[in-house]
Amino acid sequence: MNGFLEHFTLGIHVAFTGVNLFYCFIGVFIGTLIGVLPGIGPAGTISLLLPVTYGIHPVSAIIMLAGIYYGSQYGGSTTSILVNIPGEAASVVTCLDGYTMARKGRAGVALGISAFGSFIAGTVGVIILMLVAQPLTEVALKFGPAEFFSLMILALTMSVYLAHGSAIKAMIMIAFGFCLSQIGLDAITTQGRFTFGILDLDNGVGLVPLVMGLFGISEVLLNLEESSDIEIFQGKIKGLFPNLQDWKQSIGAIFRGTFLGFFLGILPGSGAVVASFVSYAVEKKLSKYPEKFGTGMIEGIAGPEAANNAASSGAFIPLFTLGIPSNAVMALLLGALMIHGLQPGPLLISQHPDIFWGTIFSMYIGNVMLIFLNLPLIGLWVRLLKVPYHILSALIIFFCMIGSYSINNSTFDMMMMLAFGVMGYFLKKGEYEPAPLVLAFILGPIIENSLRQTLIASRGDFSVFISRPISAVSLGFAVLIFLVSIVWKRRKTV
Amino acid sequence: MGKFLKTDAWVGLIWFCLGMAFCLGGIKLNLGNFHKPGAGFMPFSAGAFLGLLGLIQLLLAALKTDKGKDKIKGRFLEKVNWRKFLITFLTMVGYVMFFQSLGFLLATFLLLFLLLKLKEVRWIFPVLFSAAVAVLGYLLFVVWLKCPFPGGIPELWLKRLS
Repeated sequence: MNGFLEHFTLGIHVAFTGVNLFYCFIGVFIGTLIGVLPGIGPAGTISLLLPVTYGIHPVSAIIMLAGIYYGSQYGGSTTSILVNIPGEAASVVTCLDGYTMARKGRAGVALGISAFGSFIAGTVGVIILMLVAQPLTEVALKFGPAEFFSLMILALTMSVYLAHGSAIKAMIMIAFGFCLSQIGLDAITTQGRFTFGILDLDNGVGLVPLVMGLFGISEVLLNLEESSDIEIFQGKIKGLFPNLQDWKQSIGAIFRGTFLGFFLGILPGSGAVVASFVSYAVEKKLSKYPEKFGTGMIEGIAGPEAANNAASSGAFIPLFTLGIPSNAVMALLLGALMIHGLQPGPLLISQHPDIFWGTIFSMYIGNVMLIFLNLPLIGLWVRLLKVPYHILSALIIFFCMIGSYSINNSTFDMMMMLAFGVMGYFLKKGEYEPAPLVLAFILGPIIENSLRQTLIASRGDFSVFISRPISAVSLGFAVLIFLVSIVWKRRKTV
Repeated sequence: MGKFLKTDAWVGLIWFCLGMAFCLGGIKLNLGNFHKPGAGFMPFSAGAFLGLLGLIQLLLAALKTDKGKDKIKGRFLEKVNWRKFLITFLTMVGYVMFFQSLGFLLATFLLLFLLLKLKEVRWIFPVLFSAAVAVLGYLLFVVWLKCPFPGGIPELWLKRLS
């Protein structure tokens, strides 16, 4: 207990220094900005700003970079709600009901519940992170490759269920995402797979060019075809504070999203994107009016926004306690820690308590700053969105180009981003949703490694996936959701 | 509806062919066996999955008839503004191709200018805006953040002058 209080005090002391408050603000401001601007995300931004951290203290560096990450989760919902373009991949789901709410004149409520839900989730997430870092990691450690495989299959099946269009097209996207994830050097045998002798492909298709292309460039190409500027919500945004009825409808979703998101954020390969999708699916399942999801249901915003914020808190657990990044952004943070001579892992918290506890408390401070940045200053972000779209799109293209180049200082990544941009353009024209593709792409290597490890350990016996309880339950749910989504979608089209 | 479904059938065929390509690639890489899956195991599986789904889409689209129903106004049927698409796309390709040789400053100016001119009738705004963003971007990324972006032709000129 004494040790905990000592760390508690240390964390407050570190987080409240002038310089760390400054970097926290810079981080959340930039995070909100890039969250609002579609086409550039936290991964690209963090990679751009990594050189900046060379000259500053490691604690300040991690505080700023972390602020960019969770700040972008707040900002991403703004464009989802006001423009129907997800600022971040984790805010894709918010478009479904958020934009519809805005069109019905409830943009303020949508923005408000999104910000408050994110704040509650962020605060609760930080508290949970503080209290249960060690025990939670031990639970996750008990998951073997079979469990990971089954959980990832469940996550992918849910994305088929969530897809608005054809189930076949959603599954095609998943299969294609899987295929794309195979490009590069095989992790076990180091054989080149579909690299065609191109050295740049040895590390596989980059996540940042893929996401920037599919979500940024393609959307710009689509929107530039419109004869007039895209419809940005006009007029004053009123009623940012939800009323009692709104809270009644949302509070359950917020807390469910928080705990679900936090847990999923711990699991490698899950993170904010999966958390938001799963939360949406859960809320839809639990709702008395599931058919109304997609038409402006407040639970459809509250749950996913809480989940993606909580997931961004949960993602820090494997990074700080195990030295394992759970997503691309955490991988960049891992790189930042190593640049500063710090070895992430079980010893990080004991050897550098200022890093862990200082970052924890700064995350709480950052969440408070984000409420003020996102609500009272919503006018600033709305003004940004009122800039004529052709100017914004030119800037988005510029930032995407620079962001993709800065990963490896290679024009190859820029070309890859362009290729995915054009691909995304035609995919959307053909009513294929890119989100399942991205999910499968991220989870593909983990699924492959889990499957191969399981089969090697079980000597080719597939029954291990059924005999292990967590794996069996996950696969059972996956089959159930798959059948329900196929039958339900076929009934819709008949 | 007929046109849309026909397109779906062709796209299904493309997915099928792509899936088969991955299957073939997987076979060449060595599938291994269930005891010890090889490097080609997953590509083959993913390719087979993709190919199967492509085939299903092809068959579903080919077998469906409109039976007098209203035309589905899928996005494929919407008029594509090829001029804007191609100009935007080629401008971005040009940026990538000439980024190293022209340098960050000049290439960025040209990129933004051409993109803005797609919509802007006047010249002065695109010129000023593009120049301002290029210079600000240079100061932010190259001077302050010390990102190793190429200097290109302007850097060569400056070196010659000095």
